[in-house]
Amino acid sequence: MENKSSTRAQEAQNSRLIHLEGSFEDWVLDFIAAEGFTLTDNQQEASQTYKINDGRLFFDTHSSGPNLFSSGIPLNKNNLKCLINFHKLSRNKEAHNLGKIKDLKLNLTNQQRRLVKTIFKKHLTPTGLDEVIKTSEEIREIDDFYSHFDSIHSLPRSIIEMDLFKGFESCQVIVHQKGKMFCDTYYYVSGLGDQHKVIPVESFNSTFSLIKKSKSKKFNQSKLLKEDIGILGTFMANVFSIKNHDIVFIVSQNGFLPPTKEEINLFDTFCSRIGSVFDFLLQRNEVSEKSQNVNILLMNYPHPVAILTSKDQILFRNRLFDEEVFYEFLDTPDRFQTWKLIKDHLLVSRIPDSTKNISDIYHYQRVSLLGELLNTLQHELSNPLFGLKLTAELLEMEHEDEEVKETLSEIASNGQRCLGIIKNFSYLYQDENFTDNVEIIRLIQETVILTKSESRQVQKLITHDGLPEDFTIQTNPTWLSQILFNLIVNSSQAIKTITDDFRPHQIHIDISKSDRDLNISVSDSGPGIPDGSLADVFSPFYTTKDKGTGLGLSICNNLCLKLGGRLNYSKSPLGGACFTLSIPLEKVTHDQNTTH
Amino acid sequence: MIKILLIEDEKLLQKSLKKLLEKRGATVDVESSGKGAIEKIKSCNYDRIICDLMLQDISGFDVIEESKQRYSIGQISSKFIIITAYGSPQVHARAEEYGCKILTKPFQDNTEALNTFLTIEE
Repeated sequence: MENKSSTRAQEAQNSRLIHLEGSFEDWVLDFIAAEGFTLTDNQQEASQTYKINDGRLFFDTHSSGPNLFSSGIPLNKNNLKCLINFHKLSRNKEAHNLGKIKDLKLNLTNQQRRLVKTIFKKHLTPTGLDEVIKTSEEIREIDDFYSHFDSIHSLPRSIIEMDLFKGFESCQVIVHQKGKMFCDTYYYVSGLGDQHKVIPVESFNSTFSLIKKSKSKKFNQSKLLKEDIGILGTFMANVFSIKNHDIVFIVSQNGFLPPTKEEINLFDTFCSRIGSVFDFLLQRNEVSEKSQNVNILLMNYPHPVAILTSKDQILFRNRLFDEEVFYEFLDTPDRFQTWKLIKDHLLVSRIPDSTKNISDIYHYQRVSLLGELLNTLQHELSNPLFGLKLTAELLEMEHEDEEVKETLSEIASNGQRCLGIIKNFSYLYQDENFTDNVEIIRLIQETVILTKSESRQVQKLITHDGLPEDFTIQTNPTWLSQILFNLIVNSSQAIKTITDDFRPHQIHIDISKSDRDLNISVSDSGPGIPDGSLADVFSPFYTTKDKGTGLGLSICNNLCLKLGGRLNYSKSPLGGACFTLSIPLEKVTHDQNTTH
Repeated sequence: MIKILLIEDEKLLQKSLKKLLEKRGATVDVESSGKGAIEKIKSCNYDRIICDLMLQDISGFDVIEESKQRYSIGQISSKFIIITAYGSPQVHARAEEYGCKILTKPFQDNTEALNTFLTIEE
């Protein structure tokens, strides 16, 4: 028992010994030490032996004989680390736990990563080390492969141009994407260049099954004569089935002599490697096909769409996208946000913003419509009202009769009041990007007047303890008034839902100042908001009203954020709801990217 | 005595402004349409032309433009004062182009407005 455990301890110690042959730089020593290994001169007791020669790393293991990597791999930290850890893990049963792979943090391509996973899953036992190394070799060779092949289109050419296929004249790759009616055939003949054809799937299917059934993989036109196969003379062929594709792969010397044994061997070996290349290239091809489809989709999308860099440069625009409109909107970034469905190169739609955009668009439409309406009204009403007022004033001066004078004076002052209302209306529906020094209490009073049709029977109380009557703040009067308008109308409508209660109802608007913020609270004696719905009140399309759009509070909330402030809900001391709007006293430059 | 042409299609305003100007000693001709105004400008020599911007037939700027071209009276546009209930920045800019004053209705201060109408710069 004791003996056994001491052997195990010895083994564990030995498993961290490395034997190095050849000359190497100091960093190799440091690196090995940093990985927790020790160098030993005794090759017998070391678990790993490496030879270093001319900047390349060769290695063998005791279990599988020398020089498995006959050509070696470049000596660098990554490769060394990779190898050391392969060995370490191969002796560690816990390595079966795939979580360990993450710890390795190998700098691998996806292809390599997948292979590494397969290795760990299937082969990672001390006796399976052979296979581990073989597959590592495969990884390296595939890497070399990848550097040759950039696309499925040029694959036949690349194969023919390889030293390996010296003497071969033509190569054909026929690809069928599962489920499609047609196949692509990529064909290369030395001196004739690349050709691409589309052939029906029926032709492909018979060729595919014929080659699959053949054991020798040797063919000539008497065996397989298809016009879709462009190869002349005898040829070697193989088929592959990978994830979404079936592939026929053909090479020929364009001669009539049958291929030699060596050539068949070469072809077989090559076929065992090329599968993963197909996989790699087709996946890449599929990605580009996908992006083409997305391109077509976006191009014909029934709304203006552009893909922008974060610096508002247009990378892509579809048919409906008007650049002039875009640049017009650029100065008003808040409106423009709705265009930014897709940002940068990534086709990522900004989902959290999309609901916000709905309220934004709705709000913008409403304001611009009202703005137009008000312009017309302002002109059509101001003129006659001004005439009325001026005439009344004149007549008042001319008349002696006190009663007539008084009436005329009332006509004049009513005219003046109407003119004032129209003017204030227009002021409250200014362009979006308008800030002004706003007398807050006056603005609230005017807004309250605008809500009169909804809030007629409700008593409104405005308090501003400690704030002077003419307290001003720099802000956007349009937005501020609209927030308050919405809140007051909401409160009035909520109060109206109470029918069994004849106590006098009230909306209390309180203005107060804290260190940094101006707080305006609108509280009412209505039914309030049930606790269960609190989370939804600011979401678009949430409504409890029969005729509501559910956008009111969502718009308020957005406008509030645009003002650099926030909108909070609490229970009102009057029994109903209380919304408190806090906006900064100092004007904050509005950063449209700040989303809350 | 200052001779004024008042072009305004709102009858009450026309009457009251005429009265106010006359009280200050001016002679005032009134006209409701833009085209009628152009005819009047031809025959009478006005010191001041007060013109509403949005007339029923043509705009106040059309009146200026037409008078300028038809009568080639030097500096005629400086005799104009545009009055409008729709004082957008574009309208102000256009008035500036013509070198004429512009006042928004309702006037902030009636007396001041009358002063502007009655002051003729040489």
